Amino acid sequence: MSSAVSPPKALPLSDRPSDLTAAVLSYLIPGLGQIYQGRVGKGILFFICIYTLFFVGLYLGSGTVRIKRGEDIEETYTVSSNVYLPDTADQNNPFHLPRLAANLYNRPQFVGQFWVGVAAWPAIWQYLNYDRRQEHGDLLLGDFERTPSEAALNALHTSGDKLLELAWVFTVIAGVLNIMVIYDALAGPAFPTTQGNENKTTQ
Amino acid sequence: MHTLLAGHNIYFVELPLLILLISLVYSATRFEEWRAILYEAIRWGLRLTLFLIAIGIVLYVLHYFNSLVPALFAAFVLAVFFVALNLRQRSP
Repeated sequence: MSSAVSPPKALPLSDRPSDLTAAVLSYLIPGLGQIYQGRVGKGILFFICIYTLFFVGLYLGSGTVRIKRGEDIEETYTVSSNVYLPDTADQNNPFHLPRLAANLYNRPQFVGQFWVGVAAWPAIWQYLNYDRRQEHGDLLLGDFERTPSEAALNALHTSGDKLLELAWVFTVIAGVLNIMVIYDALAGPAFPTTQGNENKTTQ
Repeated sequence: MHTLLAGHNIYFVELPLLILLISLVYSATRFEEWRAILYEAIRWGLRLTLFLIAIGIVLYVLHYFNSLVPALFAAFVLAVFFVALNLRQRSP
């Protein structure tokens, strides 16, 4: 019988049944895998926490700036979100990587953001269907998670404050935390039993 | 930019939210029972807060004295403080 120790011993990985379906569901929508497994409370907790992080970050990373050029001319720059993958392999590819790898190298934030699941898929759609000539963005998604123009990014950065930097931290952390949520769905929590429960079972 | 959030301080709105949500999700992936999750979340929340305050202190010292030596000294003192705190928590 196990004795009460701190921290409690986790079950070895080989003893845990892997639940691939739950892991895939948790990737698609944070917490959905846990809900599928019957751990509804935890699933809702993951869903609320990760989507709050992601969408608050998305909101903070967006904005519109109006800059006056002369007396009559006013230019408007809009950044719809900070979740996007620009096609910049032609401008910067120092290691001669494949196109997608070079784009991810130039925008490493998306490697973290991707793991939030379907909420980051519009960025992939926009990447695959990007057309610089379309001013108002994609026909289906509009500007949502579309690569903003360099001028808009510069205008927002020069008029903004630390919020823009904090914004992508929110979205990247949401994605990275969802990797842990996926693992929780796949193999269960790191410490499936707590000290208190172990004591109850040994008595 | 954002009229809803205009004029507020990120140290009192965004950072606490970030710490709260990270602590909760991380703890929930470690434990299954709610009591253990909340206990671990509070512990991690405090750790993250103390760590960020420590970085703030080091940066403030660096800014105030405009020299690396006092900042390194402050970092060393804070590191010793954290190690002592950790050892105290681990002791039976």
